[in-house]
Amino acid sequence: MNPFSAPSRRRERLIALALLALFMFCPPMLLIVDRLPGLLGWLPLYLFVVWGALIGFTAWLVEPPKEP
Amino acid sequence: MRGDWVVIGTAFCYLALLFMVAAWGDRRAEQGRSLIGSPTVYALSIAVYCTAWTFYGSVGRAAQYGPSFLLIYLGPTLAMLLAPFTLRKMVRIAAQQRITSIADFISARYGKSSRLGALVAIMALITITPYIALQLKAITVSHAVLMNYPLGADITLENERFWMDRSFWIAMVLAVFIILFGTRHLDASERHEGMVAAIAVESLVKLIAFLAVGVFVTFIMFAGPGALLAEVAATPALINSMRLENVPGGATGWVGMLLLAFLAFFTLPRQFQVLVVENVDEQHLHRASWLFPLYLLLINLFVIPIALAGLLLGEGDPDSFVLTLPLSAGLEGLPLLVFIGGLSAATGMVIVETIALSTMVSNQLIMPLLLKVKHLYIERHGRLADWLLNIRRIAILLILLMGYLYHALIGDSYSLVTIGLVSFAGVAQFAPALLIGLYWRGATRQGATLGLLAGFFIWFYTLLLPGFAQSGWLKETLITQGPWEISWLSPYALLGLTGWDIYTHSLFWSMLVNVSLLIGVSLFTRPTPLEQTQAALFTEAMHPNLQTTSLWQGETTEGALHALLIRYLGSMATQRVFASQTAQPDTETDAYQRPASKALITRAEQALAGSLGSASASVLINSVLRGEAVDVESVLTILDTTSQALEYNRQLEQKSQELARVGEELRSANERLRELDRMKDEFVAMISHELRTPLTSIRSFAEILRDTPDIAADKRQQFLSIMVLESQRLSRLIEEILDLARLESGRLTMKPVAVDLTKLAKQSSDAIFRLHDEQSVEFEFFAEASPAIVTADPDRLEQVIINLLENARKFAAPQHPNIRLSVYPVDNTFQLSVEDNGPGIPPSERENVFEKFYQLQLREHTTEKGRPKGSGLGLPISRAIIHHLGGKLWATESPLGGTKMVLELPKASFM
Repeated sequence: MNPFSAPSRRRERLIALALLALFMFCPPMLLIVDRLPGLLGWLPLYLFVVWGALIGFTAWLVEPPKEP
Repeated sequence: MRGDWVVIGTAFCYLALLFMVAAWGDRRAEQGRSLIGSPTVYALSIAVYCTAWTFYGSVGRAAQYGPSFLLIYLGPTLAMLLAPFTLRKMVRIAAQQRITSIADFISARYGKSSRLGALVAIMALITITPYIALQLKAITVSHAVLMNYPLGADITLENERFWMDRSFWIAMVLAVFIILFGTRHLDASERHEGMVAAIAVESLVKLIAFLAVGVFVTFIMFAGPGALLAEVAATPALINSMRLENVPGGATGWVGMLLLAFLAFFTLPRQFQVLVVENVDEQHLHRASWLFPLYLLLINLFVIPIALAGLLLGEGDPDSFVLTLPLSAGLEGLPLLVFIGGLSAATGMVIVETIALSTMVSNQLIMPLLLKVKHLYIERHGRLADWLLNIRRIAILLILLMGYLYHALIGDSYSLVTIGLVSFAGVAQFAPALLIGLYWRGATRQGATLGLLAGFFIWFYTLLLPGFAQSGWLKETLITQGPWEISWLSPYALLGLTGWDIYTHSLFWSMLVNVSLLIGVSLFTRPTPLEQTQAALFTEAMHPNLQTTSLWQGETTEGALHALLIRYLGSMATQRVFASQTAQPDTETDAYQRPASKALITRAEQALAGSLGSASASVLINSVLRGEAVDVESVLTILDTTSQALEYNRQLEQKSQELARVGEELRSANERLRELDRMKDEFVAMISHELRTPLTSIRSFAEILRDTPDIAADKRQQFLSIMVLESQRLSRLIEEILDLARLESGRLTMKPVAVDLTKLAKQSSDAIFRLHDEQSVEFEFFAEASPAIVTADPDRLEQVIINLLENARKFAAPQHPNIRLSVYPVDNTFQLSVEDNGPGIPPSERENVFEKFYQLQLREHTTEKGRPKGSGLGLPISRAIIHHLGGKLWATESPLGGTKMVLELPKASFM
C-alpha cells in the first residue's frame, strides 16, 4: 500500500536473515548438528542445505517481483 | 599426447582468448555499449575471490581439516547479505569522491591523509605479495603435476636457474597482459571494462572446470555420492574426517575463521577493486548479493567428494587431488581442462590484484613523493600524464617480480591454504579503519593510523614471523619457546593463550589492539577540519540530499587550473573538465585572469583524484590556490551550514509531505460535499416533479368539475375517484419521502425484536393478495423454514415485504401473472425471495433500481400508460431499512423469467 514501507521492510528482513544465518553457522547449532548420531557426521550436509536455503531466501527478498 | 607443447600451447591459446575478450570489452566501452552493465557480469567478476587457492587448496584443506574450508566462503556469503548496508554505501562514496583503491578510500576518509594512504599501500603490498606468489606457485605446480604424473611434482622444480623457471615466465607473461589492459587510461577510477569482462569469463571457466572434475570423480570414478560415502564409511581412518573435531581450534577456530573471511572479503584489494571501484551501478549489488554466494556454493559442491576420493585412493598431495584424480583414471582431456581452470583462477586473481596494487603504489606512494620535489610540477609540462602511466606499468612489473621472488625464495615451505590465510589476516587489519570509519564520525586519523600499525605489527609477529621460522630463516625455538626464551611472548601463544588455532589467535590479538586503539585514540584526539568534513561526507553518504560542497575558500584563475590539469591529466581529460564551462577561454591572457568558480575547482579536484588519488589531488589544488586554501573557521561554518541545511531540508520535506496529505484530504472532502450538494439539488428537483404530477391531475379534474356544473353523474363519479386515487398517491409519496429523509438522517427509530420471517411473509401476502384475487394472480408460497426467527422491527420489515410484493405484482406478466414468495435458510441467515414472471431487469440495471427515483426504461411499461408504475422510492427505502437491520437486499434473475428480489437477514442469536 504505502510506497515507503516496501524498501524499509526489505532492509529489516535482510538484517533478520543475516542474524539467522549467523546463528545457523555458529557453534551452538554446529555442536548440536555435529553430535547428531550418524557414522560420518551430518555437518557438511547441514552447512550446504542451510547455505542453499539462505541464498534462496536472499534472492526472494532482493529480486523485484517480475512485471506481469 | 600430453606433451609439454600441447599444454603450453593450450595455455597460451586460453590467454589469447582472454585477451580478445578484454579487447572486445574495451572497444564496446569506447562505443558506449558497455558489456559489463549487467548484474550477472558484476556477480561473476566478484568471483575473482575464488583464486587458485580455492581451485586446488579447498580440496587440500578439506582433506586435512574437514569442513573448515567452507568458512572461507560462508564469511563472504554473510558479507554479501549485508551488501545493501555496507557495500552500497562504499560504492556511493567511491563514486562521489572518485576513489581509486582501498588505500585511497581509507586515506580520503581520514582527511585525505597521504601518510595514511601510503601506510595502507605498503601494508597491502606486504600482505598481498605472498598471495600473488601463491598463484604463481599453483600454476607452476599444477603444470609440473600434469607433466610428471605419476612422479611427484618436485622433480622439475629443483635445480633450475630462474630463466628456466616456468613461474618466472608466467609472471612476465601476466605482467605484459596486465600492462596492456590495466593501464590504458590514467583515470584509475574509470572502469577497466575489458578487464572485468575477461574476469567474468574466467570465473565461468574455473567453475565449469571444477564442476567437470567433481562430476567425473563422484559419478564416474565412483558410482555416485552414495557409493563414495559407503567406501568412506568402510575406512576407519576417514570416518571422522568431516566432523568438527577435525577443524583446527574447534568451535573457537570456526568462529575466528568465519570472522576472518567476512572481514577480508571487504578489505582484499582485489575485492575492493571489483566490488567498489569497478561497480557500474549500485543496483547490481542486489543480484550479486545472492548470485555470488550461489557461485561459491556451486564451486564448493564437489570439494568434499573429491577430497574423500583422493584420500581413499591415496593420490599424493591433497592440494593436487583435483588434477591427480582424473590423471589416475588415465584421462587426457579432463586434466587439461582442470589445468586451464586453475590457470583461470590464478590469472584472474593476479590481474585484478596487480592492477589494484599498482594503482596504490603510483597514487599513494610515488605521487606524494613526486609532489614533494618542487621542480617536477613546474617544469615537465604536459608529460606527467604519460609519466604516471609508466609508473603504474613499472609497478605492475615490480609487483609480479616480488611475487616471483617470494615464491622462489620461501614459497615452497608453505601449503597453499597457509599462505592464503596469512594474507587474509593481514588485510583484515584494514577492516576497523574502513568499517568503523564508515559509520562512526568520531574516528580520527591518529586513531586509525595507530590501530593499523599496531594491528599490523601483531599480525606480522604472530603469523608472518613464525612462517619465516618454519621456512628455516629463523630459529624454530622462536615458535616453541618464544624470543629470548620468554615463553609468554611466543608468537603462537601470546600471553599464554593456547589451544586456539594460529589464525584465530592472531586475529583475536590484532583486532583487539587495532579496534581498541582506533576507538581509544579517536576519543582523545581532535580531528582537523578537513577530516571532520570527510568524516561527515562518508558517514552521511546515503543521505539523499548530500552534495559534495566545495571546500575551497582560496581563489585562483581558470588559466592556472587549466595549466595544472594539462600537466597532470593531458589535454583530453582537461577538456572534459572545462567542457561544461559556458565560454572557452579565447586568449591565454583572458583565461589567466578570469577567476575560477568553486564548482570548477571541485570538478578539477575530482578529476585529479580519479587519476592521482584524493590526497595528491588535494595537495595539487592547494598549490594553485592563492591565499588560505582551507580555512579552519570557514570549513567549520560550511560543515555546520551543511548539516543544518540537511536538517532543515529534512524538516521541510516532512512538513511539505504533511501539507500535501492535508491538501489531499481537503480536496476529497470538498469533492464529497459537492457531490452531496448535487445530489440534494437533484433530489429536490425530482421530488417537485413527482409531487407536481398527481397535483396537476387533481387540479385539472377539480377545475373541470368546477367549470362544468352540468356534467354527467357517472363522469363526475369517475373524475372524483381519479382525484381520490391521485391524492392517495400524493400522500403515499409524501409519506415515503418523509421515511427516506428520516432514514438518511438516521432519525428513523426501529425497535428490533425477534420476528418470525415466515409468519410475517404469510401475513403480508395475505393482505396483498386479497386485493389481487380480481387479477387472478397465480401466487405460490414456499416456506422452508418455520419459524425463521430474525431480529427486526416487524412493522418496517412488513413494509419492505409488501413493497417487494407490490413491485412483483406491478411488473408480473399482465396475461398470466405469476408470483413466488419463498423463505429459506442459507448458512447463518434467512433469505426471503420474491420472484415474478415479468420482463426482468437487465444485469447492468440491477443496482440502479435501488437509486432514488430511478425508473426502469422498459418499453412496454413506459409506452403502455406513458407513466411509470411506481414512485421510485420504494426500493431505496427498502434497502435502507434492511441495511439498518444488518441485512442485504439485491436483485437477480428468476427461473420464472422475471426479477428475483432477495432479502437476507442474519438469524437471530438466542441467548
